[in-house]
Amino acid sequence: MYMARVMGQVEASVRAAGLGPHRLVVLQPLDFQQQPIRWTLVAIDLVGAADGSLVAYEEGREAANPYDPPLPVDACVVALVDGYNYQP
Amino acid sequence: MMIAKVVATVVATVKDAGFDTKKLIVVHAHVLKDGQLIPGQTVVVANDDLGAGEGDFVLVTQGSSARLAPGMKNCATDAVVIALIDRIDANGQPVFYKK
Amino acid sequence: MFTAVVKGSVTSTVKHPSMKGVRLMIVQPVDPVAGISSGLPQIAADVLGAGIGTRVLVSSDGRAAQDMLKMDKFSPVRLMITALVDDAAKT
Repeated sequence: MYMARVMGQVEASVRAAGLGPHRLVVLQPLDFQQQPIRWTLVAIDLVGAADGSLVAYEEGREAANPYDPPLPVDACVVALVDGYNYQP
Repeated sequence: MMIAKVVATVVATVKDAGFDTKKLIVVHAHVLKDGQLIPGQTVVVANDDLGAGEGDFVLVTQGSSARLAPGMKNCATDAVVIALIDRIDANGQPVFYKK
Repeated sequence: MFTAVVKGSVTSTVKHPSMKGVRLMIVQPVDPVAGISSGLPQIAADVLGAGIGTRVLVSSDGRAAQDMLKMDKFSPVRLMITALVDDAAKT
C-alpha cells in the first residue's frame, strides 16, 4: 500500500461489463512528509473517499480481489487514513 | 489505472490466437499536475473492446488485472481499455470533458 | 520478499474488512546486508507486533497476506510483514 491524496474523479459512462458502477478517483501518491511521489493514477474507491482526503491504496492484481468475480482494475482505495505516526 | 489518450492503432496479422479479432491501440498516459491534465511519459499498446477512437481519453488497466476484463481471459495481454472517459474533475473543477 | 525497517504506523477506522484488527505499519525497504535504504516507504499489514525500529521481512504477494490474515480470496492486501528479522549476515 501507498498513501495518497484524492485529487479528483473520473466519470465514464461507457465501461467494460465487469467494471460495474464503482466510483473512480484520481490519486496523487505521497510520502510520509506528504511530498508527491510517482505520477497520479486512477483507482476504484471502496471506502467513500472525499476529494482532498488522505487514503491508502493497493496496486496490482490484489486490487481486483474485493469483488466476486474480481474487477478488471489494478488499483483500489482500501482505507481512509485518519492519521499516522512517522519517525524517519 | 491510467488516464490515457488514444494516439494510434496497431494492425497485426500474425498474432497469438487469443488476440482473436480484438483491436490494438496505442495510448499515451496523462497525469494530473498542479490541477491540470498533462501528457505523461508512458506510451503503451492496449487491447480495446469498447470502440475507442483516436483522440479519445480512456482508462487503461495494466498488469495481470487486465485479463480480468470481459473476453480477455485467454488473451496474452497486459493492458486493456476498461472505460471511455467522459469527464475528469480535479479539486471540483473540470479538467477534461468529452465534446 | 524484502527486508525493511518499521518507521511508523497508520491509523484508519474506515477500511476494507480484511484489515479489521490488523495494524498498518510504515516500512522503509532496506538492503539487508549494507543496511542502506532502497526505495520508497510503503504501508504493510502486520499481525506479528512489529514496533518502530524493528527490522522486518515483507512479502509482496497477496496470497501470503491472505494466509496470514486468515482471510479468503477477497482481501486486497498485498504487503504483509511475515517475519521479524533477528540478524542478516553476509556469507
